[in-house]
Amino acid sequence: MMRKPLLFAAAAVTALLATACGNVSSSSGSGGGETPPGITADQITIGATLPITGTAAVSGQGLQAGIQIAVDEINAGGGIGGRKVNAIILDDGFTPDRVVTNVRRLVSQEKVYAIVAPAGSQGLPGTWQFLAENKTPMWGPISPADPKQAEVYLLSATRAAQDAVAIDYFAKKGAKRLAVIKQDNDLGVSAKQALDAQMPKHPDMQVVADETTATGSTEVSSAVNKVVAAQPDAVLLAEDNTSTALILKQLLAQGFTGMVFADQGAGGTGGPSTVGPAGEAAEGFLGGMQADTVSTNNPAVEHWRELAKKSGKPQAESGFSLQTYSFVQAFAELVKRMGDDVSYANFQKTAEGLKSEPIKLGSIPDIECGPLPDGHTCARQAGIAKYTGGKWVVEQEFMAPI
Amino acid sequence: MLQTIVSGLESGSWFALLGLAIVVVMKAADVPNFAMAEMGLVATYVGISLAAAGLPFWITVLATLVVGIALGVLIDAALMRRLSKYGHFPLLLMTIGLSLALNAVVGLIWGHDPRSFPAPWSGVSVGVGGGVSIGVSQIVSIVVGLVGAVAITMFFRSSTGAQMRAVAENRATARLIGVNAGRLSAIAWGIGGLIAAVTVMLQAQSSLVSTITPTSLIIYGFVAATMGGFTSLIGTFVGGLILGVIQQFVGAYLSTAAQFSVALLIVFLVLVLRPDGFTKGVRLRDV
Amino acid sequence: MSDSTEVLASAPTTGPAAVAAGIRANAGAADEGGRGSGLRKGIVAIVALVVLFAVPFVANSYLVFVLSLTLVYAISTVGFNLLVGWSGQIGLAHAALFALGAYGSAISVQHGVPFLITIPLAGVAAALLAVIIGFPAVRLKGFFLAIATLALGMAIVELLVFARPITGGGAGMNVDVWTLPGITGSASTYFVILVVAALTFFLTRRALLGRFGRTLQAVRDLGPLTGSLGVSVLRYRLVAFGLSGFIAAVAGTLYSQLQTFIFPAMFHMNLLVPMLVMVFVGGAGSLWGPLVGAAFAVVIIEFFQDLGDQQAIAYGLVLMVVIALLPGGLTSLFRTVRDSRFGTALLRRKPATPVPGTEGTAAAPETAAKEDA
Repeated sequence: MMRKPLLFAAAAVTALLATACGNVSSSSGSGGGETPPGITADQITIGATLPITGTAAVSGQGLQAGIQIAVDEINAGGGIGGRKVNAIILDDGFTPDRVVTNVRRLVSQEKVYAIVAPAGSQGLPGTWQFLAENKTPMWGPISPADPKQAEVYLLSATRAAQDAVAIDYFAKKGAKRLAVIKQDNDLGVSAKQALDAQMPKHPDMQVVADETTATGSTEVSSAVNKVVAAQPDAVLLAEDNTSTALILKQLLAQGFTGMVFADQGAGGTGGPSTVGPAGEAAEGFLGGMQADTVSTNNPAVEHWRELAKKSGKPQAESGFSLQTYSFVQAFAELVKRMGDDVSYANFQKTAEGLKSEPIKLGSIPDIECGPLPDGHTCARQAGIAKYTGGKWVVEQEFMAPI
Repeated sequence: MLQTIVSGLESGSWFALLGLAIVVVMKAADVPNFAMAEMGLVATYVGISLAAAGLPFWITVLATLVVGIALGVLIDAALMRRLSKYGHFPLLLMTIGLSLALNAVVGLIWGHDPRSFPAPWSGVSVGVGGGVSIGVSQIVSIVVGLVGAVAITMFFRSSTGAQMRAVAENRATARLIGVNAGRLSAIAWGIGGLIAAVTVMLQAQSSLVSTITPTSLIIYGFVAATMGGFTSLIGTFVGGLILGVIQQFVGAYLSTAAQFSVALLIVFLVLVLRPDGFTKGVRLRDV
Repeated sequence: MSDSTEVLASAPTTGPAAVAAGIRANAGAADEGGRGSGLRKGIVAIVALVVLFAVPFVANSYLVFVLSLTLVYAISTVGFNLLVGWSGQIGLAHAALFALGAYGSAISVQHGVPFLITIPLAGVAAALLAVIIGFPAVRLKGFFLAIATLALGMAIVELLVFARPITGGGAGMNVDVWTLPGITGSASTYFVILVVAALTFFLTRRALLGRFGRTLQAVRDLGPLTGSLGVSVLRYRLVAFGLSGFIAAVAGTLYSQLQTFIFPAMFHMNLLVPMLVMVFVGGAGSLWGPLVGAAFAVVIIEFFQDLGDQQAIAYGLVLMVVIALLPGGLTSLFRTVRDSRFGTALLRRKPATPVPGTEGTAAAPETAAKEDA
């Protein structure tokens, strides 16, 4: 009598094993089949994981708004080649293990066709192996380093590329003494990469202060004190929004008048997320541009701005929003170009063919992906905007580092 | 050098005040309150909203303080008191749960953008010679911190304060001699909320606060409280100031990234070498 | 102040009777475990294991991942519970020891050590470190122990940032995933986790229901008075530190395999807080509680996913409500129901422990933690 449940379970398990062995076998990956998941004749499902709550919620809400604005617009216009877009957005609260969980949920449970414009930069590398197993494309993740992987396409200049462009800019403006304040995480690593790559090209310029601050801490004053004491001509920041605003305030309080640059994420270029809290200290502040949030005479940007205003979503008019808006639009364009063959093989083939026929949106640098190893960084150009008189203006057009 | 010391004393005052708030609640209610910084943040954000609505500066300050007190009393009455008979662990976790909830509430109502509390003296600084200038807001932080510490010490000399110390010494005996522990714990939580509100408000008038602020502030508050052995008010206050200055010097002469680690090592060493606080030997009539 | 005055000072709030009741209750549970129901329980356990083994064959990889994560947290919570619940010491270096396991394993694997060997290796290393941490710390009382271990734990995680050449610093490092031949990485990781979880639960259960567990509780509940029974209090506390560190690191090695990419910011307060929640919700000092607690913490976040920007507040509120209504954790609810008249009628058997007042039974093992502080 006691044995009954055991026998039953054993029988059930044997039956299950017989029917469903494919799930664990590595030889026949589920994504390798001819028809990828998440796409039918009249619908395409995409997914993203974003920090909608938690410490990065400011950017997360903007990123979310951008995706939704784009999806609404595409669907109002009849979808992508007749397929309505269904976007599933999960919140990761900026915690790394939830980024990993969410990507698995999107791929295995929600069966998305592709992951489009996800954030969660630091947790994201934990999904590379999983994406490779499933062959699910990741189109336009926000600012990780390039994993040089078949499934992952970066659509905007990395932080390192933006910092490199800024170093070139400083040199052009005649700066001799450069100071750096960076966070002890992937932000800091990007800044270091840029310094290592660009400083040898500008022999006249030297790094006079190189400070590191702790992640998640708003204690920046001693770094600022040290930087000011070193009397630099220019300061390069690799920090989060809050710390950047704080540093700007404290630099002003100590009478520093040189150039200060932060990348798009940290500077919130085009939007108020950094310059708002910094107040008058933001005057003259330089922000990197991955997307052209700034020009008022750029029709593509004006079009987005109208939609964003109408949506009324929080942070909808931030630079983050334009970024994901553009990435989703680019994705739609790519799928359109793929034609009837929606297989992942054709996705990769079409994407890598963009080198000869780039996707030009106007709001972000042209997307020109090529074959691996380096081709999946599809945009290298970054611009610089300056915050003057209460608004952002273009200081330097999009260009690649020297 | 002078700039380093002043910056250190300024952030040290915040640490010291929050440490005092922690110690006061710890003394009377026997709870290590991990939600202390969040309580101050909520109060400060109410004040910032009122200021944005055009109310005069001193009214907003007063409102912030009242919200801080009310929040403390409410939390004690609604959540903490009936848990106390189940031991330390549920209490500790309740304050953690509370900190998560309050932080989320702030994010939901006010968003995650950093804000500042505009004071009449914001952005004004005075030159002290040698090209060094000190912000008035820095001086305000240091002076208010000092005044607050003196006021709390005076309070513990009063008869209510004496009863509180009796409770801290021995809960059961205190009850035997007719001390109303419930009333005392409400008072302690009220004072704790008040000091927390002052702390975050001081930080907001000098720099910026956001939903990220409490995470590091609370740790430093606990470091300060540890340096006072969780009982000594003077030890806590001096400990907080020293911590702030050490932080700045570590940042200036060692590495900014090492600041946090150094603070943590100080805690560990103080606890292991002098579990009753580093001012144990020089304690006046404390406890 | 010595330990003894502290115990005497706080004892009257609940009274020695509660302590005695707690010991009796647990002794009762142990007796019950030893009686005829043992066979039945064994069969239930085996059936459960077989079912769990079958999961990856039928579930998608998201569900397998969530289940893996739950099991890893459950293993870690067994260790944490051993320290906090059974030995009554609120030591908060657990996340750091967990991180040590994750990094130790990942780095060793990079240098050619087979993954399976790194599991016990990392465990032993962390156990040694835990004892070193514990050596000064076990003399501290209550919250002082909590703050000291919290500080040291955070400092250890900070060290991972500074050890850039071997850990990759703040930017993190990749983990090479160990795979069984012919099976996907996720499934291989799951099977290893399942085996380790089963072993952990089986061995800890045996240890805690036996002499070791009872001595540990006696040390917790009676403090230095245990010395008169011929038991070295400090030694037992240190052993609890070491064992919990061992288990934390073992869970950490599995966590690194599951995440495939690790960096120091993973192991800060944002990990320690859920760890505490898991111990608490499962009920400090209960045997199966860690599994309940881990499932609660992982699953509730997945369920709250649909609440959008309100999930953070929902998480905080649910936690507060659980603490307010069930100070003994979720498992105390089962115990209360089982020992209530209704539950007894339902199960058609006598209450497991005839302690007067159901509330006392449910709360006693938890309140006992207070006596020690």
